[in-house]
Parts: sequence; C-alpha cells; structure tokens
Amino acid sequence: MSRTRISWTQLAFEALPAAAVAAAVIAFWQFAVGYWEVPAYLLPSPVRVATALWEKRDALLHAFWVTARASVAGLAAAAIVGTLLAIVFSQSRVIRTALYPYVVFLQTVPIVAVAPLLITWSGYGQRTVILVSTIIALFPILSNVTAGLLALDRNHRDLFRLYRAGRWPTLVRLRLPTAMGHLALGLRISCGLAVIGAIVGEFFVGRGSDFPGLGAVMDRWLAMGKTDALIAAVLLSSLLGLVMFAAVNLLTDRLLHRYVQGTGD
Amino acid sequence: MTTSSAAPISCRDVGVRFADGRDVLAGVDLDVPAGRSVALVGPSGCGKTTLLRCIAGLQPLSAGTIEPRPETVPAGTMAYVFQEPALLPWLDAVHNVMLPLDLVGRGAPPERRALAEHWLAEVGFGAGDLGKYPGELSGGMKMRVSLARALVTEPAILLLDEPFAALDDLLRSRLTELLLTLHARHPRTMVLVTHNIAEAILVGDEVCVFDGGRIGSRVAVDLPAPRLAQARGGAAFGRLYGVVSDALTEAAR
Repeated sequence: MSRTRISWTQLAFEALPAAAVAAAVIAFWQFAVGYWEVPAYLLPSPVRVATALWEKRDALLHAFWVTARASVAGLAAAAIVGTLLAIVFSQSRVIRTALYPYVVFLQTVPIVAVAPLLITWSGYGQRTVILVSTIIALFPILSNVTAGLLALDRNHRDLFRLYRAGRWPTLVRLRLPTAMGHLALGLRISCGLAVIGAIVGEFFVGRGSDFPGLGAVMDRWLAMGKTDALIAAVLLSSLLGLVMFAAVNLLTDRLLHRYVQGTGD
Repeated sequence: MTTSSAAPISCRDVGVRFADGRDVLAGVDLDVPAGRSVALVGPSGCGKTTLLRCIAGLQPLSAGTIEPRPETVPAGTMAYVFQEPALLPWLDAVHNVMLPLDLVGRGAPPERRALAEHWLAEVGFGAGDLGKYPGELSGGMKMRVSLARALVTEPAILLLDEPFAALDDLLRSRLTELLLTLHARHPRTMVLVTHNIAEAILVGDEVCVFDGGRIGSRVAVDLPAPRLAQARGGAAFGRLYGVVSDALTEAAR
C-alpha cells in the first residue's frame, strides 16, 4: 500500500511540469485565435472545442466506448496471435527463417492501403476495425515474445537439459515465463498502436456505414467542417491511448512483476 | 529420507575442441571413486568447467569417453550447482527446489513438497522463508536454495562449478562447511571446480591441477574427514596448501 502511495505522489510531482506546459499552450492557443482572428473552421479556440466536447458528449462518449472496445479486442487478439506465432517460431529455426520475412513484410505494408481490402473481405463492421487494430498491434508483440522465448539464461537452459526436460515442459516452465517480461514490453508498445489501428479501421468502415467509433465520427465531422468537434474527438483519441497505456502498465506490473526480475541471481 | 548410492566417474582420454578450433581439453583422464570427491583447480580458461559440463552431458566430447554416460542413467542421478544460484525468479524457494522433481516426474506433488522442505531444512534455510521469491533473498540464501535444488533428487553424482565464488569470505566459509557436513551425512560422488585452494583441499579427497587443457598434477588429500574449517590451522593443511599453490603457479607459467 505504501509503495502505491509513494508512486502516486511521485506521479503527481512528475505530472506537474507537463500540466503547466499544457496550461501554457492552451492559454496561448486561446489568445492567438482571438488576436489573429483565426477562422473557427481552421482552428477553433479551446473554449469552442470544450463547448463542442460538452454539446456532443453523448456521441463522443459512445464513440469513445466503441473505439475502446475495438482497441482492447485488437490488442487482446494481437497478444494471443502474436504469442502463439512466437511459440511456433521459437520451436524451430527452419520455421522461423521461413516465416519471419513475411511477418516483416506484413509490417511494412501500409495499413491504409490494406484497410479497403479488409473491408472487401470482412465487411463494414466492428470485425474489420478489430482486424485492422490486430494487424497493426501484432508485430511488436510477436517480435518481443519471440526474442523472449529464445533468450534463455544459459544456466536455466542447462538446468532443464540436465533433468532432460522435453520440449513441452521447457516451453511451459521456462520459455514462456522467461518471455513474460518481453510480452509486457510488447503490450506497452502495441497498446498505442491498437488504438491507432482501430481509428484507421473506423475511418474506412465509417465511409460505408453509420459506424459510431471515434475514427468514423472524426471523418464525418471533417467532411462537415466541424473542426471544433473534430479536435474534441482527437483529444478523446489521445486520452484513449493514454488510458490504454496506463491500464497495460498497471496490469503488467501487477501480474508479471515476478517475471521481469532477471535470472533470480 | 533415503540417500541414493554414489556412483564412480571415469573419464578416459577426454578431449573437447570448440567450434573455433581451440582444444580446450586434451587427453584428460580422471577417476573419482564412488562416494569420493575431487577438486579441480587451475588458471581461468584451462578447461575445468568444460570437463564438469562434459561429465554432466552438457558439453559434447570431441574425443574419449566418460562413464557414466548421462543418457544411460536416470534423470536426476546427476546434479549441477552453478556459479550463480540460477533460481527461477517467478518461483518461490520451495517451488524452485521442487523443480527437478517436477521435471523428472518423481513422486506426487505433496511428496515433492515434503522433499523440497526437507532439503531446504538440511541446508539451513528457514522454514519461514519457504514462500520467499529469489528477489527477496540474500546471496547466501539463494545459494542455499540452489544447493537444496541440486540435492533434492538425491543424486549419486554432485557437480559443483565454483558455487560459492560470488559470496564473501565468511559466507563462503560457512557454505563450504555446510557442504562438508552434508557430504559426511549423505556421501555422494562430488566434483568441485574452484579457484580457492583452501576450498579445494577441504572438499576434495584429491586435488587435480589443470594445466593447458590437461591435468598437470594431482595432490592426494590425506586430511581426516570431516575436515571442517578448524583443519585450516593445522600443519598438514599448510603443507598441502603449499603443494597445490606451487602446482598452480607452475600451471600459470
């Protein structure tokens, strides 16, 4: 309990400078928009953005919730698929060298180019959004967990060899626990990507349907010139990324802290 | 608790050539009678640990034979204590010690736990600390857990690779005494790799001094057992220390 209290206090102290910068930026933004008479469709004032946020709160909160669900589902699917693929890769050098280049290739294909194709295959719906989110979040988890499964401590590996542990006990009792720290790192990198993937997916899905996610409403408000509501949605997207990152950090710290303590020496 | 019978070790003309073409071991002959102990000393990189790994079956031989061949004896017949405790950080002390029993599939879980607790008690590990994780243990406590883990399968052959090298002198001395006490209580064939001459003389019935991938000289230790730390002050101990030290100096040239 005391450790948590200390960390919250530290967090508050660490957040103070960032909060001061944010306050200064908002103040300058409000001043600059009025002073230079910037049209609202180009850059609305912070007050107008806040007003839009309040007026469209129902639509925005619903969009936030829809995108959050898709992001969490995309991240979870990426974690499961990435870990399973990593297990396959860790079992054989031949499989690894045969398949890994294609995984890298998949990573280099721009997701905005693939998204329309995914809609063709999967339709205008949440399934496609989750699919885009999964694809974009997959690679960091796959590469990190593969590295973790292969990065055994030499003494641990010798210990398991000495007692003639087979492939399965070695995987379950040594490789997977060793890789948990790497999985935590992969999840931390991928949680932001999962949100980006969900929003990109919603951009495309929203053009052919009345999908209510943040990406879809952003695209609609962009077309309607509602820049204040658009910025409000952008801020909520950032908030979603932050919430996801904090949640993943909290979960991995709580659940995986035993696995990230080195070799126990 | 029963103790498995000790088994002799016989190395004949053992050679190991690494992938870079370097001969780490060449023509090594070593016999360790059942229940006896041998200490291997020598300069760094002379092949002591490689020989130990060969005996454990962790390093393939380029030449020669070693009996028993690890694959011909039941798993758990040989145990290895590493220079570092090498505990699994996600398991508590008792589960770290149970691990070899889990891996070789010996006994039911309650029996495994009872054996683990017994060996932790044997190495002087407090009953109140059984649930502690490696990150919560001191270096000495971790090494005690590591020793208990090696002993829990009641191995016929115990291989120790500089097990106390990372500890301070006082702790090292205490754990060496513990090792001698356990050896007197549960005799098993032991091979110890060490850089510490006193440790080699206290533990080994014979001290083999390595010299360039071979055993350069052998010194029989005729101190009466059990050789607890008090033996260090004696004249016989001092004479043996001098002999081994001279052989080591010669090997280092």
